[in-house]
Order: sequence, then C-alpha cells, then structure tokens
Amino acid sequence: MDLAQEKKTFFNKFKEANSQESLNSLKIEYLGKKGVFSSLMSQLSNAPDGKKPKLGKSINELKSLIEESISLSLEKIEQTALEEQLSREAIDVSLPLKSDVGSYHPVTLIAQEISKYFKNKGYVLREGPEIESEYFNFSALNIPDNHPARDMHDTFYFDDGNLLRTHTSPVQIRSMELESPPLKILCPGKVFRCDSDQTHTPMFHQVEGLVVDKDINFAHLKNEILEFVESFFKDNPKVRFRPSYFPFTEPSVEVDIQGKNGWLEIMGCGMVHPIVLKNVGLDPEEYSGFAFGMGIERMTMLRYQISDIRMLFENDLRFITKG
Amino acid sequence: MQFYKSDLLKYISGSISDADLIEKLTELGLEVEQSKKEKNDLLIKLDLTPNRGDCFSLIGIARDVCAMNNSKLKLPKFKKQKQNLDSKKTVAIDKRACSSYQGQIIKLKSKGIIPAYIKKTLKAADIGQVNPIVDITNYIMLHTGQPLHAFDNKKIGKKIYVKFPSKRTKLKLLDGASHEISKDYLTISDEKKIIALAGIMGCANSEVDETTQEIFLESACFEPASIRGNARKLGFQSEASLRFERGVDREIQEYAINFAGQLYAEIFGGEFSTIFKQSRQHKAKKIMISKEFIDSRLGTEIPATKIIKLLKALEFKVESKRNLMELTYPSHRYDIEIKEDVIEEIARIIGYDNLPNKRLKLLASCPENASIEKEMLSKDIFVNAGFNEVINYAFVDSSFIQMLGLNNDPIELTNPMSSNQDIMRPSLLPGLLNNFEYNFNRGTQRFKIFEAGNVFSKEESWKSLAGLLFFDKSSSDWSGSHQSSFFDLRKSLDMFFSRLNIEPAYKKASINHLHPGLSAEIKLKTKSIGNIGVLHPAIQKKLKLPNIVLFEINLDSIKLPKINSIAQPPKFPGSERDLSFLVSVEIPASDFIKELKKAGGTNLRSVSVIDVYQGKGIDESQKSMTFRLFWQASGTTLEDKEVDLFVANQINHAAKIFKAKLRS
Repeated sequence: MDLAQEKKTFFNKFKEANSQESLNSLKIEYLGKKGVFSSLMSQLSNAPDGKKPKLGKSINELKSLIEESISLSLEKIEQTALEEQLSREAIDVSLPLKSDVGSYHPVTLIAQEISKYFKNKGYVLREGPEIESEYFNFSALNIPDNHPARDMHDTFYFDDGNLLRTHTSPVQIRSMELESPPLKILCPGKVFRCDSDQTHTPMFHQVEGLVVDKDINFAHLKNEILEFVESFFKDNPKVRFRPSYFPFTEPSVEVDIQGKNGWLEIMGCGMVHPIVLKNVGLDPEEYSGFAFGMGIERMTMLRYQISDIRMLFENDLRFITKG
Repeated sequence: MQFYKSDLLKYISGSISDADLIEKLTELGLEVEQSKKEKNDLLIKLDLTPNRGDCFSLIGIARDVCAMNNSKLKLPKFKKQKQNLDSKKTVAIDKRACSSYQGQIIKLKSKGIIPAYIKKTLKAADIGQVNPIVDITNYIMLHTGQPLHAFDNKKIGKKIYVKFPSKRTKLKLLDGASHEISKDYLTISDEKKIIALAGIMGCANSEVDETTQEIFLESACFEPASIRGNARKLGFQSEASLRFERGVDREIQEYAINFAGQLYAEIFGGEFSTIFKQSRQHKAKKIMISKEFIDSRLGTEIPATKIIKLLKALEFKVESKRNLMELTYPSHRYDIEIKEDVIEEIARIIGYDNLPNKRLKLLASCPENASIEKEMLSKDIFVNAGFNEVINYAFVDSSFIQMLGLNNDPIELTNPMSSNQDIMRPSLLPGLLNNFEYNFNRGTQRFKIFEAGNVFSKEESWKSLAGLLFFDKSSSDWSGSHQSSFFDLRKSLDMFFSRLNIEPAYKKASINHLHPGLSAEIKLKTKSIGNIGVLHPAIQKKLKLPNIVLFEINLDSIKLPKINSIAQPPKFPGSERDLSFLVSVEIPASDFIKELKKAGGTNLRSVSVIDVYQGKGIDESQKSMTFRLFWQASGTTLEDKEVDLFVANQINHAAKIFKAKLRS
C-alpha cells in the first residue's frame, strides 16, 4: 500500500477535473462504496497489527484531504455557475413603467374627508333623491310660494312640477319624517341651480349636518363648527360667525374664515326653525336642533387653491387626478 | 341697497371709521358686498337677505347700527306743511290688502331744481334721475324705506280706490310696456280707470312730467302678501315692489309724506291740501318670552336687564310680567313672528362671536345607509384597480342619447341651461364618452375612467356605476403588458363582483350601443344588472372614436356582501386533471363549466380554462376548450379511482348536453 503514490495519482486526476461531472465521478472513484478508499480499508485489515493504527490514521487523513478538496472544488464551481446565472439574469431596474394609478375626483376626496370626520363624531350618513317635490325642497323647509327666499334658488323644474333639489336640506325633512330624535345625521349629495360662472356651476355638491334632540343649543352648534374648521383647515384660521338668513333656521348664521385676502365664506348654519320641526311632527318647545351646510366644491377650491369651479367638471384628467 | 356713508351718518351720533362701519354692518348680518372710497365719502353696497326689508332704507340700517353701538337713533322731525289748498279727494281701500293709505295734493309753484345732495343719494343707489317730482319720491324712499308715488292730479279723478280689479285688464305702465294683469293684482284706480299697480308701478295715464303743476302724492302701506310675486310675473322688479314684497314700516307713511312735503316746499314751493287718509286698525303683534327659554336655545346666561335694553334699542316694547317678558314687535319688522326670531335679534346684537361654545355630548346611533356605503366601496375598488374617477353633470344632450341608442324614456328639464343639457342622464356613458373625447383631443392616450352617480328615467332614478377602458397603441411601452380588450375591462369588473361576493353571469346580448359580438349582458340570477362591451363600430365611425370598451351596472341591484364564515382549507392533497373537449363554437364556456361542475361531484374545487382553440385541424363550427379540474376532499386523500369516476361522468354528461367530444 503506497499512500504517497495514491495521493499523487489522485491529485493528477484532480487537476484535470474542472467540471461538476468529473468531480462527482472522481468522488465516486475514491469515496464510493467500491472506491479506492473502500479497497484501502479492506487492505488495512491485512496489515500487521502493530502498523494498523498508524496506517489507519494515514488513510483517514488522506481520505479527509481528498473529500475536502473535492467538495471545495465543487463549491467553487457552483459558486461560479451561480454568479454566471446572476449576471445573466440581471435587468435594468431603472426602466420606466407605465402604471395606472387610480384616483378619486377632488370633490369626492373632500366629501369623503368631511363625511369621515363627522362619522367619527357619531353622525350617520343619509341621502335623498335628486329629483324632489316642491314640498320637500321648499314648503316643508318654510319657504312658501312667492317667498323672496325662492329668488335665492334658481331652480330647474320638470313639467310635472317636480324639480331638481336646490340644496341637500330636503334630506333633513325626509330623515326627520322617518326617524325620531335623537338624530345626528350628515347628508352629502348633488344639488342643482341654474347658474354658471367662475364660482357657480349648474350642478354642485353640498354636505349638510343635522342634530335634533332635547336641549340642543347654539353653543353646541358653535363648538361643532369650530372643531370642524380646526380639523379641516390645518392652519387653524380665525373664524367669524355672521348673522344671515335661511328660512329653515332661526337664528341663521354664516361662517367665515380669515383668508390671506380677507374673510372667506365657508358655510351656513343655524338652529332648526320651529316651523320645520312642526312640519315633521316635532314639538319645538320640547325639541331643538341645529343644522349646518357647506358647498363641497367651495371647500375643494379652498383646499387645492382652485380659482374656477368649472375646472372641476371639465374632467381634464391632467387636473382631476391630482387631488 | 347702495348708499354713501355720509347719508347714513345723518342718523347716527358720533363718528365711526370706514373699517369699523363695514365690520359693524357685517356683524349685524347686513353683508357688505362692496365698498369704495369716493372723495371724502365711502360708497357701500349691501347684499341684504330677504328677511330684512326694513334695511332697504337708510333709517333702517342706522337703527341696527345704533342698537349695536348702544346709541340713540337721530331721527329728524318734519312738521306738517300749512294745509291751505282747498282741493278734495276721497279714498277707499281694500283693508285686507292695504293697511294704510295717505295722500296729499300739492300745487307746485315753480319748476324745481334738484339739489346736489339728492342727486348724490340717487346716484349711489343707482336710481336714475327722472324729473324733480319723481326724484324727490325716490330720495325719500331711500331714506325712509317708504315708496311714494306722485300722480299728475289733473289726470286722475276725485275718488281713489285701492282694490283688486273685477276682470283681466290691459294697461300701460310707466316703463312704457303694455301688460295684461289678472285679478290678483292690487290696483289704484279712480272712478274710471286703473292709475297704478299698487306697490309695483304707476300707469302711463297718470304720469307726472316737467309740465305737471299739481300732484297727488301717495304714501301707502300695502300688505306683502298682496304684492308678492306679482312684479316678477310681469318680468321685472321695481324699487317699490322690492320693498313692499318684504314689508314697509306700517307707521312711517305720515313721516314720509311730511318729509316729502318739506322737500317739495323747499324745492318747488307749494300749496298743500289736507292729508286724505284711510287705514285699518293694525294690532301690533305681541309675544311672551322668558329669559330661560332664550338661554336654553343659545346656551347662555344673559342678564334680563341686558336683554330688555337690547330689545328696546331695536324698538321692541317690553313689559315684564312675572317671569315673562311681553314684547310688542316694532312696526318695521315683518320678519319677526316667533320667539326664535327674538332670540336671533338678541344673538345678532350681542354678536355670535361673543356667545359661548359647548361640546355636544349627544351620540345618536342609527344604522348606516347601505347605499352610500356601497357607492363608497365601489369607488374604492375601482380606484384601487387603477381607474380615475370623473364627475359629470347630471343633464345631458337628448340628441346624443338618441344617437347612442340609450333612449329609455328620459325626463326632460322644463328650463335647461342650454339645449345640450336638456334631459336628465339615463346613463353615465355619454358623460364618459365626452370625457374621453375631451382628453383624447388633449393628448391622453390611456383611459381607465369611471363614474358613480344617479341616472334617471321618467319613472325612477337609480345609482349607476360605469367605466371606460382604452389604451392607444402608441401608449404601449417596452413592457408590452398593457392592453384594453373586452377581457381587460371584464377583469376589473370580475374583481369588483368578487369583492362584493357575487358571481354574475355574462350573457351574449344585443345592446344598441355595443358591438354585438363583443358585448355581454351582466346577469345576477335572472335579473339584468348591466352590460359590458366594445362601443358599436357604427357609433365609433360616427363619432370618430376608436375601439373603446365600456361597462355600466345598476348599483341598486347589488347588495352589500353578507358576512360569511371562513372555512378551513382542506389538509389532504388534491388531484388535478386536464380535459380537452371539441364542442360547437356556440356553446359559452360558462355554460360548459356549469355542467362540468354538476357532474364533478362535491369535491371538485375549481375549473379553469387553460386553452381555447379554433382553426386549423378543427371543423369551422367547432372549438377546442381545455379545462383544468381540481378535486380535493376535506377529510381524506382522494384516490385516483374516485377521480376517474368523476371524470368519466363529466365526459358522458358533456357528450349528452353539448355533444362534446373528448380530444385525445
């Protein structure tokens, strides 16, 4: 048994083995069941007893060396192969992609923000039809025929006498007719008036809040508005409450905020008019309530600094997708 | 109402800066729409709310400012002119329509020349000069709020009637136009003819001019209810009707006529008759209110003394009766009728900004509205799927609707803004097509847009959801992964339905505006809930539009998803088989899958189509469809033999129902 010769023979072969296959066959040739080392181990049993341990140790040392050499070499080859694969598969990660990013219309964004704010305060959302009767749009809201207040609303009519609602207030009436106090509702929706210029479009959106219960007073309304303004206008502007007139509230108030160039009107509000309460069968001595309403486009324009309301309905995708 | 600050200051003691005055007026609810410095004066334009008829006068505005200032209104006194003109007139009034009528005959001595201060007041109010007689009446109206009318006394009779006419009548008014009036118009008449429409305008037959030597000056109070709306029906509004519709102070007629008397005497010199009067006893309205009620509605603690002082400044009469206050309303405030109106006055004068605010503790709990939630969810899903939301007007062009063949009995507006917005939209698609055209012409090449909103027919309205998909070829990039076919849009719709936990079927159908071969009706059980497809080539050609894909569904016909239990997925391995069938091209895949499921046993978990082929090697009337079927049992491993049984069953079933042949 000439281990030195075996070693030399192996390393000559090993030098030539540059592929995974040749290394594997070398592995089988030396380390396999019928391999060189198997026969060496069987020869070892024939050796004189005194030499056995030393010889055995030498065989094992050579076996380990060969094992290690082969596996190191195999690893290296795998590593090279992996590196080749990686560089082959590399891409230009900077290539631009066209992706379709969805977007909400700016008016929807603001309507949802306002709705979410009031929902968190315990208001529930209510809606009503866009085609309304005279009763719900005017009479029930204390706006009788020929009343000058109807001049404030340029109304679209239908031949059957119905009309396109001029405000979301009819939803107040519909809700109060269906549900009894305590009532805390928010009504967003489309409204219509025959008007078109830089600050008016024939269709726009309003959101209206209504709270009715016992012992609701103006101080509550004031607080509700102040907190909303603080939340919506991040820079916490000064707020002004200014007397106004709506037939369905008494007292009626307009809310302004201080802008860069003076006061900006943002909403109307007031205590629900006793006639309105009576119209839905509530006793105004027992119940009171407040209502507030604002134009969503107006809030949208303030938020995004838009100067012409009509831009919101031209649906120019370069504009309405940027909210 | 437009006026100079100097005119207003005639009634207010002390000085007030321009900025201060503007702020005060605004705080009073008399919104300053515009203010302009002019020489040594300030021109102020108020945007008055319809309830404040009393502020269509300088005195009315000054009264409010004084109440807030806590100062006294400076009201000049006018003496009666010496009444030595012996001329007679009798007056008879309809007492329901006219609470007070006063008239005086004035013989003018010379031709009057209107002084500069009157011209200035009229100019501020944008009231043109007519002639000195009329200019004086307008000047007094601007100060007192009392519209006066001067008749040429030579053109009218001895008897004056305030009455409704007995029949429809044609007449010519001072504006030169002829009108036919109904019996609802209150008139001023003499023995023979109508000489004025009460509270609106005089008639041409009794007009004063430069040559008029004797006038009959009318200062009356007509009830708003008998005037309201009548001018508008004639197509105009006069300074008089503007004021009478809102209510003129019931007690100012004599003040105004004496004011006028002084001016006619100064400017023309004149002889005056007695004042001919008719009036109905007017009972001033009274109301009882308690301090507690006021506090309960405002959330305040205002001392009773402060309330009383404030109401007195607004010319309420206040009497304390035990715990209550008895208020008599001022004669100039038609808008005050109930306790809440009084509360508003108190709040207004104190200033809303000075009132307290308190946190609302009320929590009302009512169920959320499902329809709103569904709309929001739909928008969320489509936005997340890369769609851009648009919002279109709810009125559309009827001819466009007709051209698209969407005509489902639309509802017409009586007074549209323009002829291309004449009906309520029966569909959201016209809006989307307009959006497409607008943006395509401005260079947009990729469209994934949608809208949610109400649509209308004569009978009803419902919430609709519609989408449009189009990618221009030149918009594709190196990745080549973007397409806009029927199936690309259907994929979005499938995802939407799956999020709502419903599984509607797509059925071939013929829909006017869609390509008959590339469109489907969307059916939920037996109910049609919408459609999807490629825009009809004929419409494409007419509108010069490309191959757009569209869908529209009725949101009202879909329910929000119910909450389901979530089943544990099976733990045992499943079994997969691929089957290819030859079948008539007429058989929809969805029908085929339905039958495969029927015959596949309860453990058949999924059926997908992995290949569809038509063409070479297959008869023209046939297509090949390859299905991948997957079985899995929940409690055990399925054996091949069991699956073989199901497969055999399916092959037989397909052969029986569809005459389908298995391809080897």
